[in-house]
Amino acid sequence: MCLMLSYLLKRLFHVVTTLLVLSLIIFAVLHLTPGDPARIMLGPEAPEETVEALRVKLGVKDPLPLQYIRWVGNALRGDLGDSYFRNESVASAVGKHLGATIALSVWSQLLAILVAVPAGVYAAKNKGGKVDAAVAAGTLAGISVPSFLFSLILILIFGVWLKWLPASGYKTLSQGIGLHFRYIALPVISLAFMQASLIARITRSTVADVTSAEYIKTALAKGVPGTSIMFKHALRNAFNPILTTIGQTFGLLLSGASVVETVFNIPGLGQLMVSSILKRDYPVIQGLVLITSLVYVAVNLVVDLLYGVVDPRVRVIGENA
Amino acid sequence: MSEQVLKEARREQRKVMLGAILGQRVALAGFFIMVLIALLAILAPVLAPQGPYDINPLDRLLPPSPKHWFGTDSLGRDLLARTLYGLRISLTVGGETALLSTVIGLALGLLSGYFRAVDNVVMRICEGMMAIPPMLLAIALVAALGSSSENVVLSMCVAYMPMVARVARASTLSVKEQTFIEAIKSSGAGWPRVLFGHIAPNIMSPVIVQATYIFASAIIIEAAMSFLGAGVPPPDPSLGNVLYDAKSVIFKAWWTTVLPGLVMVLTVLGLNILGDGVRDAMDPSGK
Repeated sequence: MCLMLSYLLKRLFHVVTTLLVLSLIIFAVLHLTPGDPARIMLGPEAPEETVEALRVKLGVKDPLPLQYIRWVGNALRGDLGDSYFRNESVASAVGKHLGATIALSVWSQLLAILVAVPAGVYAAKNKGGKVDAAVAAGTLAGISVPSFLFSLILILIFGVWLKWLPASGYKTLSQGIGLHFRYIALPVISLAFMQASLIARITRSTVADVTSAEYIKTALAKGVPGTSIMFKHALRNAFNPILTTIGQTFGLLLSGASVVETVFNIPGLGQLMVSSILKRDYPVIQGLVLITSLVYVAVNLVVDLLYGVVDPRVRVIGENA
Repeated sequence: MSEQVLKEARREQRKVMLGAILGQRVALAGFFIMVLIALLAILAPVLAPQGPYDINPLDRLLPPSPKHWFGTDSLGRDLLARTLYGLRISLTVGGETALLSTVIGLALGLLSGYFRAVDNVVMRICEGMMAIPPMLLAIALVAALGSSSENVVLSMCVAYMPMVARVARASTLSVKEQTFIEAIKSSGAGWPRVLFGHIAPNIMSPVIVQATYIFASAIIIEAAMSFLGAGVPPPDPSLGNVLYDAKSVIFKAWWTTVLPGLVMVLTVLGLNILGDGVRDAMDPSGK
């Protein structure tokens, strides 16, 4: 327990430093950007004095370290600044678009894990069989077809030709569960396809690697039953690479969401991001990258903590480091 | 009884051999697909019926025909020409990204897996960078640097490099604890020899798998970035731009999406198959 606690503290310290580096990177990237926000807001026709006044008001003429500290300080209090073009704060714009993205990514991740892990384990157990070949072919397709192309094809098949499901739009859960899933089915499938393929591939290869290890042979020789070997010996040791992949691909899911949301016209964070990038609405971009990254960091913190729970070696290494 | 066992063993052996050959065959297929794709890209000026920028307003949105194998787009440009030239740009962008990010990431990963002092600095920065989803980071960087294909490569490189570093570091950590490394160290080898001569070859398999994954994924991400309006600037025909132009007419001209899309899928598929083949060839235990 003591080991677990020190591992936990160590991970939390890592998260804090990660966030510090992250905020510096986001701040630096957006301040590398050429273009004058005041000029962008007021347009090329505005007189110089008005633009100058706005520059002072926005604080863009202050020294960079001061601007950074002010940005971080405000962000910690939940104030991400105001959008240049939308008549609202970044926080309220994000709030309005958050629900759709959460629904989309949670359903996709769930669908992906539920399909991919059993498929990967089964394929590894029956290496060279028909299911293994099918899983290999399916996952290859999944990582080779870009999500926007897959989305367009799904729209063509199910939206236009078969007319089974709506081709675009979004309904919240509170508007009816059936309606919600009718609208979100195609986006979730196109987002989960690549996700599931990556997870299934890593599951198959790590489980296959682990089952060829010496201690599995030992267990077999001892006469431990097959299912017990799979769950107690093999899966437990294959768990970390699978978890890593799930954590890492979660970021892929978040950026994939921006593409899928654009194709299906879903009012989520991805769509907000794309429209802000096209309009160069920097406070919104900055806020969105920060929030997406925070979610990603949180997911990976959970992954790291699960490592410690599953694999005692990690706790000990954490202690020595 | 022993006859039975022998038979069983023979059958098992045949199965293994068959698997190996089959595996080889799949990898070979990937190799041939990539040779074909590379030839198509290199020979684009010879194969294309007209220039990729030639606009013919009278030939707008023509379906595939002997004159225009892939049909034409909404400006009357020949889609076969745009796809072939697009292949060139996408392969270059993807290849450059994979090579650059792998070389830098491998070096960083090896060093930070081996030296704890380097580890603390490099991994903190990498973790910060990896906290931003690669496509968002690349888009933000392109928005900051200005859109050109060099900046797209640079941005994707920055976004992918930490992934390679992390994989290389994790493998280095586990390999450096193994007995044979201890043996080499105790026989007096210096750290460069241990690190680059003995640890590096043993972590190449996951790194190469990662590199081919990056090559393939860079092609997809470039396409997605172009699709969102933040990739290789138009009118240059990267595969993403060709598909972006197709998006607005997908319901009346399926070929503008499907045919260039097929070429793109074939390219990424070829890369992935080839990558799997390389992985199996380098790691005999995976067979």
